Amino acid sequence: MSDPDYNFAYLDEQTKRMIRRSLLKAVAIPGYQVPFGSREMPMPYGWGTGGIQLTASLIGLDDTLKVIDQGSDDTTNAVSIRKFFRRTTGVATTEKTTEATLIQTRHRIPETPLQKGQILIYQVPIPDPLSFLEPRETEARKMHALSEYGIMHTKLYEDIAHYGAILHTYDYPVMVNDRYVMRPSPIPKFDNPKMDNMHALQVFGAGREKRIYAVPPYTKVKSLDFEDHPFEVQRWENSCALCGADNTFLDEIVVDDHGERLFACADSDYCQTRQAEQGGQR
Amino acid sequence: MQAAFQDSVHDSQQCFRHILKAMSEPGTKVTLPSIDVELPIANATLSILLTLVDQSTSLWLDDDVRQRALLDYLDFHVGAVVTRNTQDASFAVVTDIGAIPDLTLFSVGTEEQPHGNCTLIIETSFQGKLSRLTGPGIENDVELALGLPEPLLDQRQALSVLAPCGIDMILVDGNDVIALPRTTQIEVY
Ligand SMILES: [Zn+2]
Repeated sequence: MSDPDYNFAYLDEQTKRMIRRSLLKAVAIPGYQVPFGSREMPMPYGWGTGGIQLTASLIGLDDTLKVIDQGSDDTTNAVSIRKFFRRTTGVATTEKTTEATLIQTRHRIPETPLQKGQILIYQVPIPDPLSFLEPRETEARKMHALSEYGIMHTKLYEDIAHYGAILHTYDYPVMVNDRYVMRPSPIPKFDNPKMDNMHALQVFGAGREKRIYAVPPYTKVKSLDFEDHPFEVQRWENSCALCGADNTFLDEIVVDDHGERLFACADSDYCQTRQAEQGGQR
Repeated sequence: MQAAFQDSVHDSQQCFRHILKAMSEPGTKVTLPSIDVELPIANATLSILLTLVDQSTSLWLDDDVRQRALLDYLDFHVGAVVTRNTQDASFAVVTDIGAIPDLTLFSVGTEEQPHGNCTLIIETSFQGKLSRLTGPGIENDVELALGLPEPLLDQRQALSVLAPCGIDMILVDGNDVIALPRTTQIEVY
């Protein structure tokens, strides 16, 4: 049961309608940032209020919600958002990627491929990929309108000239449906290829900056690159010390008081599921 | 006054998710729950209006349904600002597809604000010639009958040069809904 002192999912119905209309526009114009009347939420902006408002406008009694932060279901941020929705909606929550209908995420895409019908909701701190290059919002909007992204390519090419590589390892810009350059939020660029032609709907919410954007399923998402410097993802020499995976994003973790370290999957559900499968096979 | 959703919070949430699915996966037919009312518009049209429209959106209705009973109902349950000017409408309802105004009369948004377009809710019957749809939201392609007259499809096609501006359509047949966002390409056999 949800707490009767709250509206279902906290937001009032008029706010949900406004967000829902914006979300439909976002889906109809893949990669375009739709402005919306972001509301105050009972948590600070750094806590993913944009993603929370999207989830609140989407969620219903039949949903199963998963919340991850950096791939883990157990961090303070993920736990408190999950509690918030359990209290205000009473809906089921899960840590299993395969069981979730809605997945709210901060900074990762699950390793388990998402399915048609699932919705991935990203918490976005800074929505506009041009904001560091062109701080005047009116100018940035014009560049998006004309698909004039020369300034972005110049910056990336300068990185290559100076450092031999493009510096972004997180929040690496992508081109959506051959039209809009989009920030994927601070996911590692390792996750970028998962956005391309994904079976699930991807929606993005920036609370402080009041922007919503989306990528429909089966939509082209291309990481920006150059013919002589093609896009590459991070690779590790190690495999996961816990499940043996050699194709996942790894975190380095300290395992004892002597500073002993090992590498393990950042996606805790993926890693635990693999460990359970291996345990069952023995 | 006739009733609207039985449970406005949960019914509108459910309807929204169906509409969102339709818009995200063009060509996928979704079925909206029934509402027990006697009005000159289709059940799904009514559900869409109850779900998405309120006093902050302007609504255009074609002559066929701009009648007292419906206007009173919408005023009471939706609070929509009904306009007679197609260019002002953020949503438009077309029940007589033979008399649909030229699409260029509706707003397509602007280059900087392509989301300022009108969303057309068009009542039709999903019969007739097959169309092949491609574009974002569609894995490979999908084939189905949309029941849209060719001149309308031609007008829609002509708007594609304005992308990312354009018109989004939500087609309605009874309780069934198929959405055609501006990004969907339609090829008629
Ligand atoms: Zn692992």
